[in-house]
Parts: sequence; structure tokens; C-alpha cells
Amino acid sequence: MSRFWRVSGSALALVWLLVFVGIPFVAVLVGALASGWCPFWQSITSQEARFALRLTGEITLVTLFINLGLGVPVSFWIAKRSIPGWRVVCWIVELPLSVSPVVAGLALIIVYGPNALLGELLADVHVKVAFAFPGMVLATVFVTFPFIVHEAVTAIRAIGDTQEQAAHVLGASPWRTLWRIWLPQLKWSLLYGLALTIARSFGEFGAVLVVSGSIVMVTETATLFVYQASVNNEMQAAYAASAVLAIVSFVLILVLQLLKRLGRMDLLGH
Amino acid sequence: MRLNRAALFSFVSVALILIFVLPLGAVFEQAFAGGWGAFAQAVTSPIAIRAFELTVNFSILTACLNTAMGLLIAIALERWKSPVSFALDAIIDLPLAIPTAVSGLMLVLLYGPVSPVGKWLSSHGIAIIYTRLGILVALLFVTVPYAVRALQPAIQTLDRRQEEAAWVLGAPTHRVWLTIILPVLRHAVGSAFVLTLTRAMIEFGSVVIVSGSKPMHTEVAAVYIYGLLENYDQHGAAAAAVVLMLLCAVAIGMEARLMMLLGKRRSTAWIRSEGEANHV
Repeated sequence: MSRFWRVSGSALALVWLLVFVGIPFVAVLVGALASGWCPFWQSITSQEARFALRLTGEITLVTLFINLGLGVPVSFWIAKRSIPGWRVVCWIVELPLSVSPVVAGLALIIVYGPNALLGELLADVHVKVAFAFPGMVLATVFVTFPFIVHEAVTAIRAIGDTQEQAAHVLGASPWRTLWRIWLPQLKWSLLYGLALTIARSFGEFGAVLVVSGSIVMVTETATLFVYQASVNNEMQAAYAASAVLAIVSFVLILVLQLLKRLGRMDLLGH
Repeated sequence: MRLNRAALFSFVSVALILIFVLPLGAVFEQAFAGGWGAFAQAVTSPIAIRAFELTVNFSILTACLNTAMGLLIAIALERWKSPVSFALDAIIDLPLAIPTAVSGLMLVLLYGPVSPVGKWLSSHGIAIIYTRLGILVALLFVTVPYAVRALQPAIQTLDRRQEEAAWVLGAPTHRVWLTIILPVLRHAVGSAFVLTLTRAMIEFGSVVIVSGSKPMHTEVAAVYIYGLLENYDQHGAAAAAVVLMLLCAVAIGMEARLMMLLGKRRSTAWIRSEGEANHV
């Protein structure tokens, strides 16, 4: 009886996942290569596609640095609970997870758009945010910020502050404590957070679509290229770019799994 | 040193305000710029009401289906170790990493009218792409990992001793599941439900591609907001955005309420401290 439930339950779970996730994933790879390697290669090395992929890479890189630079202090702020305002900060960081990407894009446009308050101020110093690179980075940061903070806060709270106190008593400077005590212990969670950030900023669509205006060869990222191609009914190009993005995300998943394993082993080794 | 720290934290606060607080505040300002009347008018047009209705209905349906299936998948992963569970584990995270626009396109490719699967389905009278069923499929695709990953840790940290005691005392399988395991998991199930619900409500990329966004028929709230933006109606978009955010807030508030109704976190508190001890 129990064996029957076990087998049928597993089978149902597998079918559910295959129908909704697995088979579509395989279908896009098959669809992209349906008419052979040559058209596939041509459509992903077209000027527009190459530009889009490069732009996505650049945005991801800048986002990573911002998220890391801003995320580490914020995670200490939340995790320590000793600096006033940590509850508010925690709340702000959780916010993007329940805001639709379109709304995030809209929010940034309202503040940094051409007719908006800050947008006009920035335009006076010749910085264009909306419909340009900085705006797209802001949108990506908005959507991906929680990931690193989440990972780091859990790790900081789990590690505790005994080692930090020891370092302080022995006269180490805060910087030295950060480099010698915190970062070596936080490295796996930070790397895991970074990999999650890469995955999300690679795939960010809604917020970037609204903020960028999706101008061909100017602000068109890889996901926007996929969308534009599918709207224009250039299915070969859309499928080829989707297949590339799908493979990249699959590799990222493998990296994530590996990081999780390594982090666990590291924890056990201590 | 003290000054340094103060400078660092004020810099961080300014950055957080510029990126998160100010833009979201501006959405509210923009929504009520024309007063309450204009706001009410913008969000009570038939198209808007229909869009919110679709969003809420489909999110609740998705959340119910995926919480149930997520529970089954999580149990299959954690309890019924089988050769299949390795494959399961690899597939689950895919929707988290795949760009939402790409996942929409995947579904169009597989279930669209030109594919063999789509043809077979349409010969049986089922159309998925550009219909409401398509929205449901897209939402199910996107929210699977949230449900599973929310439930997995709770199942991992279950206290096996209670179950074993029940087995030893001769309880039948269904009784062990219904009276021992599920009651302990209820909080995790509650948060998985709310997580899937909010994720489904804010989903945009995959739905915009799969649904074909016909107003009144397959246009959900996020797509509706995008449509308004494309028509340069920033006030209307902001008003609809405020309503969508409020719906999410209600869902999250509901979680707190649900947790209260489900009773004190007696058992889970114990599990959590155990889990943290394991982590360290």
C-alpha cells in the first residue's frame, strides 16, 4: 500500500514537472536547432543579437558590483540589529520581492524620467537615466538586490560575533576584521548570492523593458531582443537567442548546486 | 572611526532611498496626483476591474495547484529517495534561472498552434496559447520552484521520532500523514501558498508572451499596466500599480493572519532552533 503511494506520488510529481518545466525547456533547444546549425549560428551572431548579448553582460557586471558594494553593509546592518533602523532597512530590502517588475520600471521612470524631478536635475549635468544604460542598471539592481542580502544575513547571524569580538580585543581595525574574519567565512554565501544575482539580472525583463524603451542597438538587452523578435514574428532569431539564454541559465543552476554543496562541505569541515 | 561608520551608513541609506523608497513613493504620488476621484476612475474602468479580477483568480488557482504539487514534489525529493529524485532536483530550479520572457516563448513553442503538441491538443479542442489556460500554464511554470523550495526545509527538519512512534503504535499510513506530518507542516504550507500567490500576481514576462493580452479576456494586471504605459498614460498606470501593490500587501497581511489562525508556532519554533543548530 505504502509502496503504491510512493511510486504513484513520485510519478505524478515527475509528470507535473516535465509537462510544465522539463519538456518546454527541451523544446526550445530542439526548436532553435530545427533548421540546422547554420541558421542558428547566423541568428545569434547577427549584429543586433551580438549587441544585445553584450549589453546584457555589461548590465549584469555593473549590477554585481553595486549589489556587492551596497549589499554587504546592508546585510551587516540588518544582521547585527544594533544599529537603529535595521527593521526599516529589512523591510525596504524585502519590498522588491513583492513588487511587479513592471511597477518597478514605472516607479523608476516616474522619478528619473525626462519630465520628472530628479530626471531634470540629472539632465542638467548631462546624465541620462531613463531610456539609457544607468536606468537599466538601476532597474536590475531594484529587482536583484534582495538575493545577496538574504544569503549574507542568514550567514552572518549563523556565524555570530565571537570571532569579531576576539579580533576587536586583539586590536584589529574594522577593515582588517572584515577581510580576515568575515569575508573568508561569508565567501560561499556571497558567491551563492552573486550567482543568483547573475541569473536574475541575465533574465530581467519587465523592469528593463519599461525603463529602457527597448531601442534597437541602443538599449536592447538579450531578453528584450527575444521579445522583439517574437513580436516581429522572426521566430528563428527568437528561438536561437532563447536557447542561448536557456543554456546559460542551466549552467548557472549547475554552478548554484555546486556552490551549495561546497558551502555545506566547508561548514562541516570547521 | 565612529565618523567613518556614520558616513558609510548614511551613504547606504541615501542609496537605498534613491533606488527603492523614492521611486515607490513617487508611484503613490503620481497615482493620487489628480485626487481621489481621478484615482477611483482610473482603477474602476471595466478593463481595469477585469484585469484585477483575472489576476486574483488565476493567482489563487495557481497557488492552490502549486502548493499541493509542491508539497508532493518536496516529499518525493526528501522522503521517497528514488532514481527520479535526482532528475526532479535538477528541473525544479530551472524556472528560477530562466528569463521569464524565454519561459513564455518556450511555452509558445511547445503548446503553440504550429507545434505537433499544439496541433494534437487543438484537434482535441484544447487551445493553450493566447487563451486563459495559457496564463495558468505560464504561472504554474514560473511558481513551481517557490512552492517546493519553501516546503523542502520544513520537511527536512521534521521530527522523525513522532512518526516512528506512530508507526510503532500501528497507525496506518494515511493516518500518520494526516495527523502527524501535515499538522506540523501547516505553517510551511501557509507560507508556500502566500509566496506562490504573490509571485503569480506580479508575474509579467511569461504572461505577456503567452496570453496575447486581449483586453477583457486575457489581460492580467501587470500586462494592463504595461499597456497603459505604452499609451503614455502614466497616471493610470501608477493608479493600477498602487492597486496591484495593495493586493500583494493584502496577501502578505493574510499570511500573518493565517499564521495566527494556525496557532502558536510551538512545533515549528522547536524545529527552527534545531535547524539553526544543524546549520552552524
